[in-house]
Amino acid sequence: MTTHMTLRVNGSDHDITVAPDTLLLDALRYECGLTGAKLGCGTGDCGACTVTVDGEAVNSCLVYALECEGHAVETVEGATAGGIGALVAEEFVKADAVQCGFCSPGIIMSTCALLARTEPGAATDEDIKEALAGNLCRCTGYLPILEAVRRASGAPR
Amino acid sequence: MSEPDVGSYRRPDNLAEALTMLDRRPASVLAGGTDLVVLRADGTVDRAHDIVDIKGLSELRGISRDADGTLTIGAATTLRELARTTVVPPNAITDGAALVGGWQTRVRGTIGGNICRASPAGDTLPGILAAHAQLELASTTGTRLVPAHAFFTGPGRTVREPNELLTRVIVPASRGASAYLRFTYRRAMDLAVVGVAVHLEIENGRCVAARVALGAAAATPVPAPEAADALVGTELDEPSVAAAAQLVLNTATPIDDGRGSRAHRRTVLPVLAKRAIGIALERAREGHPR
Ligand SMILES: Cc1cc2nc3c(=O)[nH]c(=O)nc-3n(C[C@H](O)[C@H](O)[C@H](O)COP(=O)(O)OP(=O)(O)OC[C@H]3O[C@@H](n4cnc5c(N)ncnc54)[C@H](O)[C@@H]3O)c2cc1C
Ligand code: FES
Ligand code: FES
Repeated sequence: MTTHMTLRVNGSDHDITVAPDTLLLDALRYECGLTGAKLGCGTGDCGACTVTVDGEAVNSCLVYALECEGHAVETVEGATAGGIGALVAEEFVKADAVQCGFCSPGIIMSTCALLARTEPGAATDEDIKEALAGNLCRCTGYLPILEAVRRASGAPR
Repeated sequence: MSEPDVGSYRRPDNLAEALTMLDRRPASVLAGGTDLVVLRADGTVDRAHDIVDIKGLSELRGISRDADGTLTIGAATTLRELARTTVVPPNAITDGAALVGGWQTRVRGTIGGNICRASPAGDTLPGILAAHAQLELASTTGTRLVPAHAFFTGPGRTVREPNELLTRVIVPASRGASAYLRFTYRRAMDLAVVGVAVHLEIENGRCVAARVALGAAAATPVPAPEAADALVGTELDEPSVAAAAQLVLNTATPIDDGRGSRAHRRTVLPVLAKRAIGIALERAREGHPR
């Protein structure tokens, strides 16, 4: 049993077909062709699937696509196309905060949500850790990530 | 190839419509989905049930305090909203909300979901017990109030009927202060090995009322009345607090599982209780009303 819906992602409307329990993550990847958000655990534990819905970071593996009808979804593809997201991505590269890269789209989305709710330079290390606690990275040891977020936070916007 | 039966997704426009949906067909309430999506995927919750998404209902959202000091928390209030509310000072319930999962979990997850999930380790549950909160359940036939301590009947089980919606958490006014602490191996993204909530009321330096509740120490969150009673009448000096904290073990019946052994839980509980009493006391002295 499937239904049609309009999913607004990165500012564009996608007319897609979903089941009642199609995950936002799967709708993004298989219906919209946006493969930035990754399936890590599927249980909300790793954060690799993080996207924003109305500006808030959420685990797209725990959200049904139909819950997002009428809301604005942003993925790493949209967020890093320009503006603060592009700056965040640049700082991640400069700080060597990306190794295998599997966690990066999710971490960048959590970072974008953090920067959207804090003034330039205002995010403390505690704020950054709180914002990123739900994003696991198995490669970097987190210090380069922390550094990249600090720099992005401090940059003028 | 036949697909397994999957219920439909429904988004009611108002509370009355939500209650009708819950009454008409087998349905699961969807709030933040941080528990339900996983429970449906692993088969714990029947996928054939309709999904009734209540997160947008304004009747179920928000935190307010009325003139006599009664605090009302809408069931669909997110844990994030609750963790950062300025309507009340930090207390055991808001402490619990702030500890759940990670940022993504709290932005989406709700207090109603935490309560109705009824995990013995649920982080807002000891707080609502210690606050003597009442839970308002609504159905098409009316509403009823259930005291928090009578709501939970086992791991994942409550007195809520399938057609009932938890609408509000009602916290009676009090002059006291409270705190919740949990023990985990990681600071975030971990479930309580054990948790303790403490509510204290103080007059002229003496404890005049106390309530203690434990999480992950039994099949449901449980009050620890002996520990609480031992605090009353004392000046909450170190020996009195230490002696009372030890008494939480009279109520605790923790299990051995992957998160910790029974012995470990029994070792940690009194220490945690002592610290939680300390924080509640500090807050009471700072004159936090509630
Ligand atoms: C990564 C991760 C970490 C977590 N960490 C913690 C933690 O540290 N501590 C903790 O306590 N929990 C934790 N949880 C569990 C979960 O996030 C919380 O229990 C949360 O409060 C659930 O709220 P929700 O709105 O998402 O509930 P949902 O998933 O929407 O619902 C949960 C259950 O309650 C029912 N329900 C929801 N609202 C109502 C209502 N108003 N009336 C009737 N029934 C209702 C649903 O049908 C379902 O059975 C974690 C979850 C994840 C994914
Ligand atoms: S895939 Fe969603 S949190 Fe891991
Ligand atoms: S770079 Fe490999 S998981 Fe983070």
